[in-house]
Amino acid sequence: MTDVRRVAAHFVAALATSTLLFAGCSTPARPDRMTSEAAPITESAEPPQIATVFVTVYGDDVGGFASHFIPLPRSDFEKALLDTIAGSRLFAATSDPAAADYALNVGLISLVVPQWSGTATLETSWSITTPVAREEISRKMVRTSSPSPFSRQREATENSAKTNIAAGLKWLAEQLGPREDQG
Amino acid sequence: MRAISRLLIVVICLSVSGCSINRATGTFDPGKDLVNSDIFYVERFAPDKRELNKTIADGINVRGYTATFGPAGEAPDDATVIVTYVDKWMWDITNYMIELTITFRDPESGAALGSGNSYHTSLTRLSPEEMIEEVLTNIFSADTGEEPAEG
Repeated sequence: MTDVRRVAAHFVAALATSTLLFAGCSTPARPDRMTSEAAPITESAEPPQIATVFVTVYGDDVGGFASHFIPLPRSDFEKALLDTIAGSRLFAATSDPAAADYALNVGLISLVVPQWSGTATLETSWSITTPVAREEISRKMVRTSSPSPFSRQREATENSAKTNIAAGLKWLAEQLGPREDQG
Repeated sequence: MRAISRLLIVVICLSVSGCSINRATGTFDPGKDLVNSDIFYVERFAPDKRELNKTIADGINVRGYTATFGPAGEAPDDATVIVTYVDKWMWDITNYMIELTITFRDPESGAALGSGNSYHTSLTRLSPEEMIEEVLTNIFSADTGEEPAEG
């Protein structure tokens, strides 16, 4: 009977240890770590503002399902995108479509994460339309990959968002920025 | 012995709880709408040996649209929507589809217009036809602004 109790005690200890170890898996991603300060859209210290945009982020939370990696909530991605836009000074975001030069729609499509370690790939769909009539001007698939080591699960999700936002805004600047042939 | 019995119950509960996860989502670009004149082309996912692209095309056709299917990169010139998909399978007594993602894409840019995903673990598994139907229903519902079907 004593042996049985000892085995049971060890089992409970193992269960508690594994629970504590995996508790980190449920830690949510941090939107402030998704803003792309580390990957500036422009090298210019005083970039000219290009346009005011009305931003819509659509789609469901992506990634992290049936995986030990951290999911990317749509609301966190949207906040990071708006913060990066504000920080870039290339664009200004407005909540009033009538006050915008363009509407920017960004769809969260998928975040493919590895089973253990490898690369996380985030796909988003970016489109620029006129703000009121919603006539499409341009559309772009932005698919970015970032390293996803097993020991950096939360960072992998945050880096995926940050890299993707930087790539998307770079494309936006190319589409809406002053062209060289315009002097 | 009572302690071991309790532990076994806890372990079984923890193990089985992961077997009944359901998730079904659908999303569509709010700035874009499907129209009856849209022509779909369903590209076969390279690892797919079951020709799910044919079943997906059938599911689109019954909704009143024109859809054809075939290998990737061979869409007809008049296709206005390219459909791609990724299916994942698991083994639990028998092989079953655990996850299906279908994406509607713009033929020129490859960018997604809409996407849907269904995830059903072993205890609530669905047939591939049911999974396809569920995902398509959720994508078309998202286009019209309806709530997605329950997973």
